[in-house]
Amino acid sequence: MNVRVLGDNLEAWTLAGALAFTGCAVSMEQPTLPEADSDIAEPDLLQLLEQQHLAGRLQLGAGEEAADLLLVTRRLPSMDELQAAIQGFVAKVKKQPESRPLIALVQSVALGTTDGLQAWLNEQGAGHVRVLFWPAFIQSGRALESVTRPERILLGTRDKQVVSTMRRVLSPFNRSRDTLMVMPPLEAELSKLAINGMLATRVSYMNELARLASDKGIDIEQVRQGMGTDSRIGFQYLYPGCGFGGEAFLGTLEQLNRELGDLNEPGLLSSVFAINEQQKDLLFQKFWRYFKAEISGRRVALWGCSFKPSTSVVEGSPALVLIEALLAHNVEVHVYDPMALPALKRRLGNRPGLVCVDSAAAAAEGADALMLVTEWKEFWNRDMAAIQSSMQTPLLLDGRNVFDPGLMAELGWVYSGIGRGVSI
Amino acid sequence: MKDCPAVPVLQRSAARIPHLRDLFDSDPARGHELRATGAGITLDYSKQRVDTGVLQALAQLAEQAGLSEERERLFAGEVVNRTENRAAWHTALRTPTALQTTEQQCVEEQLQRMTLLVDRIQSGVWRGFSGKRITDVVNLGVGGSDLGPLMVTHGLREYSEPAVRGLKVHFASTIDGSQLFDLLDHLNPETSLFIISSKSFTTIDTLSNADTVRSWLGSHCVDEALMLRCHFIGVSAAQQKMSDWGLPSDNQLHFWQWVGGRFSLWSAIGLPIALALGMSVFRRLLAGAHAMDEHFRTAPVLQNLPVMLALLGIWNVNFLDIRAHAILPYDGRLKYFPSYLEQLEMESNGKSVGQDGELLDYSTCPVLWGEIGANAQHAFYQLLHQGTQSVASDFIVAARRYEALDHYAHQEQLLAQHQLNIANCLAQSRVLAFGDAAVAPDDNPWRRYPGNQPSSTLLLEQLGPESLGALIAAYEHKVFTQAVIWNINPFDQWGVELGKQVALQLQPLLQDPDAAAVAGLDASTRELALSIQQQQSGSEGGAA
Repeated sequence: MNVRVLGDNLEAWTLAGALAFTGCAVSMEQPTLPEADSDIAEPDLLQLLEQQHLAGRLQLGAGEEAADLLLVTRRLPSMDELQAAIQGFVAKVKKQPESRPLIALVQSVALGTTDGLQAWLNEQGAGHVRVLFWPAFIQSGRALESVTRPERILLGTRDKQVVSTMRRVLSPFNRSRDTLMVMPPLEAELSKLAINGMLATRVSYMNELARLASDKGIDIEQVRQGMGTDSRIGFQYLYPGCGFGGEAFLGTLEQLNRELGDLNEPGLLSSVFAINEQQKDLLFQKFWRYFKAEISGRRVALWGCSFKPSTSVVEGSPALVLIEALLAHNVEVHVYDPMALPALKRRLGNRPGLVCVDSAAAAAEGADALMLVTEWKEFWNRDMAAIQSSMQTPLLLDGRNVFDPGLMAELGWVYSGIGRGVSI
Repeated sequence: MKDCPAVPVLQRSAARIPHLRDLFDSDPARGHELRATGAGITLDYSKQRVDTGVLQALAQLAEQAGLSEERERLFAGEVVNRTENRAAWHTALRTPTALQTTEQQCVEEQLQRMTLLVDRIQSGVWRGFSGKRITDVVNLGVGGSDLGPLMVTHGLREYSEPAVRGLKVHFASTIDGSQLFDLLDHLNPETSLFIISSKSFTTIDTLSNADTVRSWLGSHCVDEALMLRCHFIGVSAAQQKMSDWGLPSDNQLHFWQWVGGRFSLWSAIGLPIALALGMSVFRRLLAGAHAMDEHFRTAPVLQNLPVMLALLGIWNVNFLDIRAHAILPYDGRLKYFPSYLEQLEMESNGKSVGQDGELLDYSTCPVLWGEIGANAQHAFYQLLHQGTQSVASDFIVAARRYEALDHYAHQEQLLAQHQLNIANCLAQSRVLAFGDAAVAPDDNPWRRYPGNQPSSTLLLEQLGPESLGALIAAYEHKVFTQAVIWNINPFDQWGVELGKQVALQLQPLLQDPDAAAVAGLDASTRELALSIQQQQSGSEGGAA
């Protein structure tokens, strides 16, 4: 099958690599593979892309051509932009009226986009081109795995022939049990949005509980365990923390918020957003309170700046909020992150007071507070006594509840997590 | 004024000036001719009871009274407030940066400090005691520290920068704490910031409000220094008094003794305007006022919009004996404009002693009041049309509105409302002038309209930061011009002092349980005080 991939993001490269791997001839407009320090650079994915490129199944720098399947992975908020993006492809396939090319929308879209685009194609005399909604549930950090071992494959279409074509293409990823779910496009579109909305709601709910826990001297971690054992709830997405991020996740949430949007009666999701924004600022507020606003001229160590571990993406990360707030108050920020420092530098540029360092220990030296923002595994079993001895003030603000409050207190830290430890 | 040769000419003219109906009959072109335009505002004064002779004499009166010389002194920053021996240099506050003299550079310096503060608050850098961003700002001020900022903030709301729309700005002025009582009920102490605005920093109304806020915040934040640092900004000409109250110097904005309170919205007193609308909007307001300053400084008398406002006022008060003046903006955004002008005009020119200390034997400022015109039609217009008082009126209306709403379904309806509003504005000034003559005659005696009530119409192309700045400056210069002709000082307000002193004397007496304490008062006040004491102790007894 000939596949054309439109886009240059994690979804684009992951799907291109995975489909080429199954023998599809994949073409992309991008002239080169992603750089090793780019946001997309997940090691297994890069390796796969290189192999497929060498094997000739992944064509780079390819011009617009007809194909059996067009994957639209770019976020195109308006119908106009979407139409403009596929115009070239439609022009090519219009010349082959006997073919049955597919256009799959991979990103979350405004409700009705799939049907709307089909209607537009019909008007253009390209009704033989079929549009389907095929949301990619790609998680950064384990992108390839999320395509090759999906929990479910969701297809939004009413067309049996489309289903059978897609079932065939995706069969390599749908072997141990049939995970293919088919529903009409509108339902599929809302399902994609609703999943993200639910996950975000769980996290914000936990953060709200964590605030209460903090006020009352309750350890939220034990409460989390207690909640998770209820099989109706489960353990996933119950971690309180200093805010969730990620471009795709936040983008989908914003889309859902727009769909739900009623400025006069803000609903649940607007509170979910507001709580998350508040959480991103929380470590700064604790720092402020601890020093009674006397923070100018101090120094803070930031451990982690990607929005989650195993990725170099900083978009939507609480680190960005914290760095801006700290720099604005003339606080020096020393950041360490195993992967995301190049992305951070690209995002913020050279800023006075912002220092990127190459080890966690170096970041902490002379600091008045240590803020743990991303729960990279390498932070878990540090010699926290040694870290503390190099610091100016033993203040540990754990945004991901990585450390044990009792142990940290024994070591002499003023330890404050999200809903556990000392309430600041 | 009395010594000016133009005065007897004007007195004779006043005796023979015909009904407005006849003025229009004999000079059909007056609608086209009797107008002045400055800084984008058009003043139509054809419905004033003047003719060419009157206008010539009024122009002479202005010159004979020494307007040119005194205006020069005003713009040069020389002493024009003679009883307090200082300048009234509000024009310096809006001089563009590039044109500022060395002496005026302090203005830009404070504007820069204000910009920094505004940026920090609007962008969320400024934090409350608990580290949270500020969501609400409350301006504590009264008189000039309240009316101007309130009026402009309300008037230009639709021009606010998109980035500042999350910040809510409130105003609390009353000495009885009513507004604070409402606000403190729903404000979050962690995210509320208070501006204490007072030129002298001794205004008891404002400081008693500030003390109430201070104790309210104190119950949430025990660290007083932290609370003062995170929740109060002072704006005053009295730096030491701000420091004495406990405001850190970083939280102080200054202006100068040469800025009169009711002329101060252009200074740091405008902080709530900048916070609510954005610093760029505030700068545009200043630019509009400067354009009017230049017009006032340079335009010939009969084409000079503020001077004409002043001369027509003098003609009405001193020669036609019209002692009331209504301000009628046909625009809901100018809701607070009449109360702003009430202070500007009546506190400035409500005087009866001349610059030389002699009692005047002619009238000065008329009673001035107003309301949104279309609403006032359902309130006091009856008196204007059929009452026994002569009243002069200023109609204010914008030609263009609601243009930015072109993507809203209700734009068409709103545009239709705007046209209806304009039709009402024009209809009312027409009926006031012509009375019955505007329509077919009616024999019913209760349906007779005598007309001949003079009015001016101020036409703005649009109400925006520049045009509002120009409009306010026009009235400021009107007030100044009238004061020159009346030979009074518009920049002092001794009349408001005595009441403050007596209130201070009465305050302890009211609290004294001994009835003898009030014995020395006049019979009326004494009886009132005793009744109040009884009712207050009665309610305490009841609660116990």
